[in-house]
Amino acid sequence: MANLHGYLLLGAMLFGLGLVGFLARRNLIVIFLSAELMLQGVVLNLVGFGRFHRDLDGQAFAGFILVIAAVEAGLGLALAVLLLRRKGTPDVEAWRALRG
Amino acid sequence: MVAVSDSIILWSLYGVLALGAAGLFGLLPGGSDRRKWAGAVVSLAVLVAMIVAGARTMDTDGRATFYFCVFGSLALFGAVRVITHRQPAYSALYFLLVTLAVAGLLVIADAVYLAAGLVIVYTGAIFVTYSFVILLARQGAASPCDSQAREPMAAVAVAFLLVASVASLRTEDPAALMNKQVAAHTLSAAGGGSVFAETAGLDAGPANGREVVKTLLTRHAVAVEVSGVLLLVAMIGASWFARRRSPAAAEEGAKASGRTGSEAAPS
Repeated sequence: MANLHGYLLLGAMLFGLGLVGFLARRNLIVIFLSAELMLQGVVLNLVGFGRFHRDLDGQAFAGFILVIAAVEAGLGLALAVLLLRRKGTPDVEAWRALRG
Repeated sequence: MVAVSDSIILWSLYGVLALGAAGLFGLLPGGSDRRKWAGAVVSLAVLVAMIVAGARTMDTDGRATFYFCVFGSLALFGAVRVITHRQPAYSALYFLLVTLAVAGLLVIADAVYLAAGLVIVYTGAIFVTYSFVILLARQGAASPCDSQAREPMAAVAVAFLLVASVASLRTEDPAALMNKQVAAHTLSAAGGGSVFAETAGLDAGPANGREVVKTLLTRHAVAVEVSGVLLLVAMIGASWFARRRSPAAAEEGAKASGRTGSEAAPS
């Protein structure tokens, strides 16, 4: 199972679980944690393909995913702090007014 | 492997994934206790079934398969708990478990340098930042937004469709999926069983870091510079979002909102 299919399937499952959390949870902090879960799934995909092709580009791309994850955590948590300060709750429903 | 058994494998995989989706639906916050327990039992059964199925497909390297099953099931269990736990602090802790499990999976795939980077970045930087914000957000009682999921059925259905469509690649010939020459070479080296063969050409161990960095700084040098700029922009943006306004500006904003009866606009 520790082959390309295994890595693709596991990566897809992690991505899917993150997607469920991203769509279904209402706490902004948990939503951003779910987005990080999706990124971990992508890392598994990239490393699996990189190993399959026997070059290091997959690992290099996964390194960029780490950068994206750090950026996303910084910006996302700044948004969470903003929401907490304005509305006093981490619930994204508090920003319903933004809906068109 | 003949086509019939391939389609049986595929459909049983769909079935297991659908069961997992149903279990996940039960586990998401918002349901009754009975639904939660039913979801927990179904999810656990699906996890066990996956471990058994993974262990049965032993390839040339049995030890790698064993560790893949261990770390893979840890990652899946942690991920389910991240999105179903009703307290964000525990979600973050389970996320740490997922990170460590994924690092283990990367070590199996000979990405030692990346595994170390993942642990350092996630546990050293991202997890600590999350902990601070969770501490900041903590209110006495559990927040109502943590005990109610938003459209759990639709979310689970979308994720199931996505994962099932990826899983349908399971039985496709890898040679048709990707570069034919590489695939043929890999398959012949593995005796047709495993897609990963022995890792000639990929350095594991201490040399892995040197090779990855060499790749980054030669073939992807521009991208490395751009990601540095991205980090800088994100830092500026985050401090702009989260800045606390000076008391005078806040007072002025409060006055303005008092006049208009709306939220104070960011100055």
